[in-house]
Amino acid sequence: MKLSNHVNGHFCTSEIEGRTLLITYLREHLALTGTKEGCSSASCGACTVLVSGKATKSCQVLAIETEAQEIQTIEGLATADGLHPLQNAFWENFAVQNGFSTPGTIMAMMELLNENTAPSDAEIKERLSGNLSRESGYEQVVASVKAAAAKMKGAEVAGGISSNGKYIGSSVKTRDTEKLITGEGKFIADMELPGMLHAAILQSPVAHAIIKGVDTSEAEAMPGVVRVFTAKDTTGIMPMPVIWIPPFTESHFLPHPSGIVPGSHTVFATDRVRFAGDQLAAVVAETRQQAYDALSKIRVDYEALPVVLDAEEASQPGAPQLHETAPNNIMIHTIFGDSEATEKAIAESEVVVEQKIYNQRMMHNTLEVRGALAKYDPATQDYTLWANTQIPYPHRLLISLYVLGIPYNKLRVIVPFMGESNGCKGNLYPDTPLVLWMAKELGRPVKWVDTRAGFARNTAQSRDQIQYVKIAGTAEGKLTALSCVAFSNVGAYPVINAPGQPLPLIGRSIPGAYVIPHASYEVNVVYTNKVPTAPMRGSGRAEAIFLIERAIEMFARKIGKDPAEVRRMNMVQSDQFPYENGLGWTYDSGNYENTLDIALEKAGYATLEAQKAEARARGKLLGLGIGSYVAVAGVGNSGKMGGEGLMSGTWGSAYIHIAPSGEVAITTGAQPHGQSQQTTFAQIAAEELQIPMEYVTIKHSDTANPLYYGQASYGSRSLSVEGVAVQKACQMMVKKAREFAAYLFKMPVDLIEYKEGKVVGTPAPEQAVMTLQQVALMLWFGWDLPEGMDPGLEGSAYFDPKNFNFPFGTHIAVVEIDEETCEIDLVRYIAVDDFGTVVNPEVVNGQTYGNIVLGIGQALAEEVKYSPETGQVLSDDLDSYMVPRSGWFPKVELYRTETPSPSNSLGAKGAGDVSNPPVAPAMVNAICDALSEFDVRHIDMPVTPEKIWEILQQQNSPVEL
Amino acid sequence: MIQNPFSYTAPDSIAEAFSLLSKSGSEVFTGDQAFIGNTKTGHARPSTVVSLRNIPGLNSIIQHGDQLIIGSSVSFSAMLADAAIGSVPVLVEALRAIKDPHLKNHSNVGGALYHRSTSHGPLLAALLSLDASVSLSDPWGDKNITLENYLTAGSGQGEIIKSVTLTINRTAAGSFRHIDYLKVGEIVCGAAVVLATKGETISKISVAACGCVSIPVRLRNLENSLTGVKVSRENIEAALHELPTDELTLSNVNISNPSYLFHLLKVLIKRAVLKS
Ligand code: FES
Repeated sequence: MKLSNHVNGHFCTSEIEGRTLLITYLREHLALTGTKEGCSSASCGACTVLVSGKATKSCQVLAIETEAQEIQTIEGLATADGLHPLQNAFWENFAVQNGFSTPGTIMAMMELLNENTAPSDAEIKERLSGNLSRESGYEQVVASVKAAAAKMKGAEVAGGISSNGKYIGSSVKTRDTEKLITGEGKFIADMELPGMLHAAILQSPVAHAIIKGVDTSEAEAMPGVVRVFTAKDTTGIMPMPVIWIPPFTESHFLPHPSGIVPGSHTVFATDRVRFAGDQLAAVVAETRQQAYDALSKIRVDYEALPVVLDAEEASQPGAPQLHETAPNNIMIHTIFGDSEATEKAIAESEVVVEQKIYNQRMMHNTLEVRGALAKYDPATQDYTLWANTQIPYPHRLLISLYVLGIPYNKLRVIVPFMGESNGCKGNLYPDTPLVLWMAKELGRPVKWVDTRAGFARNTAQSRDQIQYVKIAGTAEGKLTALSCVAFSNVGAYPVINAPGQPLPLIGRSIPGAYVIPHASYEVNVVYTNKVPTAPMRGSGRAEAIFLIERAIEMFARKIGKDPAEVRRMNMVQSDQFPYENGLGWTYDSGNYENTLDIALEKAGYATLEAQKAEARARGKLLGLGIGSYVAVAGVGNSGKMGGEGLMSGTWGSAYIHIAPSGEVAITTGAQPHGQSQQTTFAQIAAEELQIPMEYVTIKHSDTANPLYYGQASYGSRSLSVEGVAVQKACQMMVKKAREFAAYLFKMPVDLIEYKEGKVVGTPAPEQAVMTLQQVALMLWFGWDLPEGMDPGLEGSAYFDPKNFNFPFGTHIAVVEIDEETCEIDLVRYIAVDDFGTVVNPEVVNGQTYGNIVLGIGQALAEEVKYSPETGQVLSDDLDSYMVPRSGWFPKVELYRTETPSPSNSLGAKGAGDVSNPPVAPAMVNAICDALSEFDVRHIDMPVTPEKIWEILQQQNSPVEL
Repeated sequence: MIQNPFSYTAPDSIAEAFSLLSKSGSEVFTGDQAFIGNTKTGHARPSTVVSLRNIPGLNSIIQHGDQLIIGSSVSFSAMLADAAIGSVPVLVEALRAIKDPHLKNHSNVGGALYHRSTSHGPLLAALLSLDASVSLSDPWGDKNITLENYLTAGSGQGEIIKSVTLTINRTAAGSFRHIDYLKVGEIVCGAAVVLATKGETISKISVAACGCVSIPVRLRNLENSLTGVKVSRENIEAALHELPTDELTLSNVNISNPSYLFHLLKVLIKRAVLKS
C-alpha cells in the first residue's frame, strides 16, 4: 500500500506493508537512521519523533497511520542557520555520551519546549519519563533543556566551557558530538552495504535439553530466504576461546582444538543446549523482516533435561551436570588470603556479625543491542567486520586465531558509532564470527542486529553471587577480620574473561577502604543453566564494596556505634600509602577520611535525628546510608594481569604522526564508547605539545589504523593507561624535536627549550626558534639529519604501569519510606569522589551520574527473572527489567577531591565505572537505617516496597492503614 | 517488528467499517498504541486492521449541559487539554497518572475500552467512578450501556465504540490516587473515588479500583458501607478494615503478594476519600 506524508518538511511517498511500523518506514524506506530502535516495545524512547507535533514512539505506531501528517525527526531539527538551540544545549551541557539515546530524547524535549517556554525541573523530568538513559542519567539533560529554553527566549546563558586556562582540567566541548545530536552518526544498525543480506539467529527457548532434530525445510522455502545454517554447516568453526586461565588454581573449562587456550560454546549448539539462548540456527534473507519471518518456521525437537539455576545448588552432589569437564559444575575453586588465620581471628573476636548476601543477577541492558556486519572480498581474501564491540583488536586476534583460523592480517575490525556497553560488549560472542563466516560462505555482505528479547538471552549478564560474610571486631569498633565464602554463577559457558570478575576483582577488593588485619575470600565459580556472565560496570568491585559496606554497617549497628565513626576509625590513613590491603592490592594514594567528612557535612549528618523527626511527622521513615569505597582501576600492569591469568598484555599504546603541515594525528589503543577519549586525549596532547587542540586528531575504532595493537577500554583504564601512552608519545615528539633543533642550532640539547609549540635555543631565542610544524617539515625533508636520527616526526609509545590505581570516595543516600505504602523515595544523593587528576570535569561528571543511575537501579529494581521450571529469561524487555527513569532522582550532588595517583605521570585514576560500587550499598544502608526501629538488618537487592512490607509483616510490625 | 502480516484499511464511513469488520479476522483499530503492542507480542493476530481514523465525529469532545461526550478516538492528551474535562478532578488526576508523553498522545478512550492495558486502568477507573456510559454501534443501530456492564460483557464482533458519556456533577468531589511502580509508569494499584457529602457525612460515593485487578472494577460493597459515614480518617479506616478480602481477585505483574496489593488498595482508597 502507498503511504504519503511530509517528513522534515519534504513530501515523501513510499510503498509499504500494512504492518510496517513508523520506525521501519523512517529508517529503511527513507534512510533517516537518526531515529534509533532500542526496545521496540515503547519503553525506551530512543525512537521518539514528532507526528503533527506530538511526541511519538515510532516503534509503536503504524506507518500508514501517519498518512498526510507532518513528521519531524532529529534530521529535521537543524536549519541552514545551524543547530537548533536544544541540540546546542545538549552539546554544551555534556548531555551526550555515546549518543544512542540522544535523538529520541531531544525529540521528546522538543515537544515540551514547543508547549512550555520555561519548564521547571519537575516538568522536564516528567516529560523525560518516556525516555531512558542508560549511559549518563538525566541530570545533564535537564540542564540542557533549561539552557535551551532560556536561549530560545533570548536570555544570556551562563555556563558552556569552564576553563582553567589549560587543556587539562577544562571542560572542553566533546568531539564527534555534532554527529550524534543531528542523527548523522552511523551505529551498527544504521549501516548498509551494497548487496547486503540480513541474518536472524534462532536461540533455544529451553535452558537444558538434548537436541533431537532441527527441521529448517519450511524456513528455507520462505520468501527472500537465501540460506539457513545449522550446526551441520559449521563443523569447521572452532569454539569460542577463554583467555583468562588462573595459574594458581585448577580450572575446569571446555576443550579447544588450538591446544593453546581452553574453549567455550560453539557458534551453534550441536547435541545439547545448556541455556535458553544457546544458538541453534541462522536464517539469511534479503530483508530483516524476511529473515525473522522465516526464523519462526524452524522446528526444533528437544528432550528436556533437569535445570539448575542457583550456583550453590549447582555445586552440590546430585545437581544436574552441564559439562563433563567440570565435576559438580565447578569451574574454579580458590581462596584468596589466609582463611585459617582469618577464621581464628574471627573466633577470637569480641563481636562477630554473619550475613548471607545475594548480589542479584543483572542485565547490562544497553539501549543499543549488539550487532555485526561483515563482508569478504574473494579477490583479495580480505575480511572486514563492523561490530559494536569494546575490543576490536582482541576480536581480530581471537576470531582469526582461535575461531575461524584465518590470517590475522586479512581481518580488519571497525567499530562504528557505538551505544553504551556497560561491559557487555567487551566479550567475543559466537554470533560475531558466525556473521563473518556467513558473509564469506554467501559471497555477500551479511548484517545481523539482535532484538531486545534476543539480547536478554544471548548477551552476557552479570553479578549473581551468593556471599556468606563474617565480619569481626572489638566492642569499640576496631575491625579484626573479614571472611567471605562465595558462589559465583557464571552461567552455562565461560565467556572469554569469565574468571576475572569473581576472582581478583572481588576477591582482592573485599577489605574496601579499611584496614582489616585478617581477610579471606573463598570462591566457587559455578556453571548453571543461566545466560553466561561477564563484567558489568563496577565489575567485581561492586560485589566487594557492597559486601564490606553492608558488613561494616551491620557491625556498627550491632555494637551500637555510629556507622560513620566506625568507618572512620578503620579507614586506611593518608600516611599509610602505599598500603597493602592483605589480599593483593597495593592502594596508591588517598585521603579516604576526607571524602567521608565532606559527604557527611554536605548531608547534614549532624542533624540526622532532626531530619528523621521531621520526616516522621509527614508519615515518612527517613534513612541515611553511607557507601565508602576504594576501587581498583587502570588495568594493566601486564605482568600482574598475567599473574591473575589474563592471556594478554594490558599496556597502553599510542601511535603519533606529526605531518609536515603541523597537524597531529594520534591513534589510541583505547576504544571510545561514550567516554570521549577523542576529546580528552586531544586535551592531553594539546597540553603536552602546547599547541591548539584543533591541530590534534585522535584516531580509533579501526584495526587498520597505524597501531600495533589496542588493548581497548574497560575497567576504567583508558585515561590512566592509554591516555598516559598518548602523553608519552607527545613527549617522545618533543624530545626528537629538541634533539633535531639542537643539531640545527648547533647548541647542546640542554639549552633547547620546548614551549608554546616551539623549540627555542635559549641562548638566542629570537633567532634559534622553530615551530613544531617547521620541525615536522624539516624532518619530513630529511635533508640534514644528525647522525642516527631517522626522518619524520612519528612513532609509537607504550605505557605499562607498575601498579593499578585506586580511586576512592564516599557516597551518601538519603531515602524516605512511606509508612503506609512502603514506597521508597530517594530524596538526596551526595557523591564525593577522587579520581586523581581529571582531564575534563564535565565528562567525568557524566560518567559519575551514569554510575549512580546504574547503582540505584541495582538497589531498587534491576534483576533478571528466570522461570524456575524452564530456565527461560522472563524479564526480556525494558518493561519487565526495569531501569531507572528520570522521576527516581533528586538533584544528584557531585563533589570531588583530587589526589594524584603515583602510578602514572598524569596522576590520573580510573573514573569510568569506579563510582558505581558505593551506590548500591549507600542505598541499602539508607533503607535499613530508615527501618532501624523495626530491627531490619538486611534486605537483598533489589529492595522493593513489597519486600519491605513483607518483612515488616513478618517482624510483627505490620504496616497500618 | 510485527511478525504477523495484515492488510490495513481506513474507511471513511461507519457503514463501510461495519462491512469490513464483518469479515473474519478483521479487528477494529482506534489508533491506540496498545493495539500495536498486542500485534507485536502476537496477542492480536488480525488479518485485516480496520482503522477508525477517517470516520468523522469520533475525535471530538462535546458538552451538552452537564453531559460530556468523549469520542472514542480522543487521546489522553486531548482530554487533558479540554476545559470541560478540567472541571472533573478525578478524571484529570487519573489522566495525569500516565506520565509518558507518547502514551498520553497515542492512547485514547476507545483503545482503553477495547484493550484495557495497564496504562488504560486509571482512565477506566475514573470513568467507572463517574458512572460513565458507552455508546456502541453495530449494523443494526446504536445502543448505550453502562461502562460497568461494558467492562463485564465486552464488545461484540463488529461493534464500534463511538463515545463515552459522563455527567459532570459539580457538587461531587473526586480524586484518583495511585502507586506507580518505581515511577516507571506502571500503575500497580489505583483508586478512583467520587463522593458527595451532606454536612460531613458521605451521602453518595463511588469507588473504583485499577492496576491491582485485571479489569477496573467498582467496589459496590465498600460504597455501601461508606455511605452515611462521617468523613474522618478513623471512620474510613474502620470501613476499609471490613472490606472482605475475597471480594476481588488481586494481581499485578510487578507485585507477587496479593495481600500487599490489598493493603495498597485500602491505603489509596483512604487517601482518595480524604483528598476528595
Ligand atoms: S520506545 Fe521505541 S525503540 Fe524503545
